Amino acid sequence: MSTDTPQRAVQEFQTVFQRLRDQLCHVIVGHRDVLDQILVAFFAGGHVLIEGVPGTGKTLIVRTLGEALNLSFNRIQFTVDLMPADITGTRMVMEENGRREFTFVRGPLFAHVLLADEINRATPKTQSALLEAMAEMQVTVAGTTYRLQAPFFVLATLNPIEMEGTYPLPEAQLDRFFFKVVLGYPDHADMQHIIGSTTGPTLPKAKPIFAREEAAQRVEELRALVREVLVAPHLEEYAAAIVRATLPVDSKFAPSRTMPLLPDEHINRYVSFGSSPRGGQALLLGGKVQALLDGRVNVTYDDIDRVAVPALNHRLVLNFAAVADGIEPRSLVERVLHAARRLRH
Amino acid sequence: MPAITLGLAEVEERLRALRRRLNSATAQHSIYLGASSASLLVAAVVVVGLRASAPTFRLVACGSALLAMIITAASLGYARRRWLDLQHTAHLVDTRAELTDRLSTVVDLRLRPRPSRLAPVLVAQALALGTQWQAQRIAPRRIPRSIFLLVASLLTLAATALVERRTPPQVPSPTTATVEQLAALGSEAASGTHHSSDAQTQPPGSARDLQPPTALLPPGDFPGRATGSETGRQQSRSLSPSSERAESRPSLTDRLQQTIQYAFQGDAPEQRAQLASRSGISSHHDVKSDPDRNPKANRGDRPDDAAPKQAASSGQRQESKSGTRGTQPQTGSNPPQNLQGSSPAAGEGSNPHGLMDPNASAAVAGQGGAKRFKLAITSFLRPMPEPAGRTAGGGRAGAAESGGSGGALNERQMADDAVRKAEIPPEYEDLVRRVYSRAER
Repeated sequence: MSTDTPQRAVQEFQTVFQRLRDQLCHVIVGHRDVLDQILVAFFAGGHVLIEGVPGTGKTLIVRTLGEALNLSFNRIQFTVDLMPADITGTRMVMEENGRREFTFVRGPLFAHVLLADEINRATPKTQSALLEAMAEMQVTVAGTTYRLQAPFFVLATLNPIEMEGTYPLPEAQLDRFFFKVVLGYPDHADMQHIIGSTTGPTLPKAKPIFAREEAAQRVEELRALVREVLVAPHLEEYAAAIVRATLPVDSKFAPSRTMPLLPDEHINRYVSFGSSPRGGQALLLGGKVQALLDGRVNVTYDDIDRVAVPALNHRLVLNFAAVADGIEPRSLVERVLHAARRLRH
Repeated sequence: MPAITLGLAEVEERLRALRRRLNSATAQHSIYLGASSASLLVAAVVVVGLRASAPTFRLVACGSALLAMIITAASLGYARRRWLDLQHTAHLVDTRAELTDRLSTVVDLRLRPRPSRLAPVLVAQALALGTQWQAQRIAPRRIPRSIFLLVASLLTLAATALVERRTPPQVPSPTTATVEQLAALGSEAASGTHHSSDAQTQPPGSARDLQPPTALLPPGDFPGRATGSETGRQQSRSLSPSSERAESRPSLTDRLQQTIQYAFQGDAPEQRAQLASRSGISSHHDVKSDPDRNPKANRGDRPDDAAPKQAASSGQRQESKSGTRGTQPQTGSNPPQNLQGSSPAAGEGSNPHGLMDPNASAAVAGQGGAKRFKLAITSFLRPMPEPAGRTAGGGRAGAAESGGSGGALNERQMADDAVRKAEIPPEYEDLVRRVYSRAER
């Protein structure tokens, strides 16, 4: 049986992932779990929303990732007066050969890796400019659609403090993000390491693992490999059950009352809207990346569980009771996962 | 892709073998559990049938039947739930062999073919991990451990043979029944034509004759639990055809309890043996089924049907129904018994006093007891001519006339220890023989 090529592809995926992780860890101190989640989302073809206090390395992570992959990298600092055209690009009158005509000037959106820094400081109108790009990898300006280059990876940051003058992301925008990861303060040892390594004469710098001309293609091949990972039907059922379990029972948007999991009391009390099917897609795709990282070509329950919290926590719309009681979406997802263990045969 | 097809076929073949093994174990487990439960239930029914009263037995028997049905349904449901198809087998093997859902995914590849260049890798991984899902490791036992439960329950069932039947307060002697049957038959003869016609139309060896004595009792009442007087009344009542028709037929549970008692305690053969020791015939079954062992049939000395009718005209019936007691020669270690119910009220002996006295036996015993008693019934039985061969052969009757029992016995009687040791007046023996031959007919 000739399985050398696929087997070698799996091994190459593991190698690339490991090298990429090493380069990130060379620059970023600590936050290994966050880095892994970001890489999983990247190879799964999703976008990541990073929530963290200022100064914890959000921008550094994205920039390092772009450098390590040797992909084009752009950064947009979202402000209140940022307009959609500032992101997507606009048509400008250009003179060429003595003739003036409108020419589309591409905005910072046209890059492989995009850092949308403090995305919640832009107006919803500007935030929504990202919707089409993130979901369909294209932008439409003045009736003309422009395709984005693959791979396209958006990494947005949120500042949970300084909420004055910010605009919470609309649910549709949040749903476009594959994962939402929380970046906290480093612990004491990591803090000491950060202070020491960033105050010397030279700053640590990531080395690219791909050549620039082949980087995009290699990344696309690895992403395609992820989608070929096999999933048994009972695991698809498991993922669907988890997503369905995040819906409150009295939700008017949940037509079927037959749910494989009993509705959790906390879900009914604190959740206004549950996860969309994109949450299920994120569960399976993230699980596939986890499987490849373990050298498998099939998804298991544990693979899905490992990505459930970052895949679902930003898709739960909590009500006022949850805010009043200090309920975090993460705890609700963990409750759902605990209940879903019953479905494991 | 022939390579992956071969790999898939190999994986599926191994899974099918595992599936057969696992399903076989499930079926065996279900059968063993069901059979164990059924054995325990049967054991409980047998014990209750031997030790408990009829209502309790009825309750337990019905409950056991219901429980048996429930257990059967539960066993079938268990087997149905645990019955594995190929996909469930793959999932079970994945879990037990820690294959991280590889086999489930491989089987799904066959059911839902999807283009994936990783499928050969998956099949190769599943085959490479083949040692982890060998049959001996997944299902190490061909025969489940529940067979021990079945063995234990069967032993329990076998142990019920050691359970003794509850000791009756007073067991009426078969001799009593015989004498009372005699009296009842005499009463029948005196009662009219329809009784005699019943006797005539009843074929020899009919179901009533073949029934053991306890089967003649009303349902729910057994000699072992009835008092002596009650037993006498019940037997008298049961032996009367009119009252027997009035009684309802024994229910299924009563018959089952009787069958259990016969099967495990052997009452009927014992009673038949005692009866044979008294009457000189082995048993109703034996007499009927084996003509060679029925000397009366061979000799043709059956009493005439007119004899009971003659007895009816003699006016003895009223005395018989009054419960006349009489003495009876005792054989072996059997103590003297007071006979209740109907009995012929005539006789003679060394001490003729007290023949009609209820306290006769005590009085006679106090006077030293009668060594010999001769019963002569001349009022309602027609004298029967002795068979020539028997008279010429110096049989038991001749010996009795010349000095009682212990005379010359024929070969069959000599073989019967009880008959050989018995001291039965020949007239009484002939009387019993005629009555039995009449009842058999």
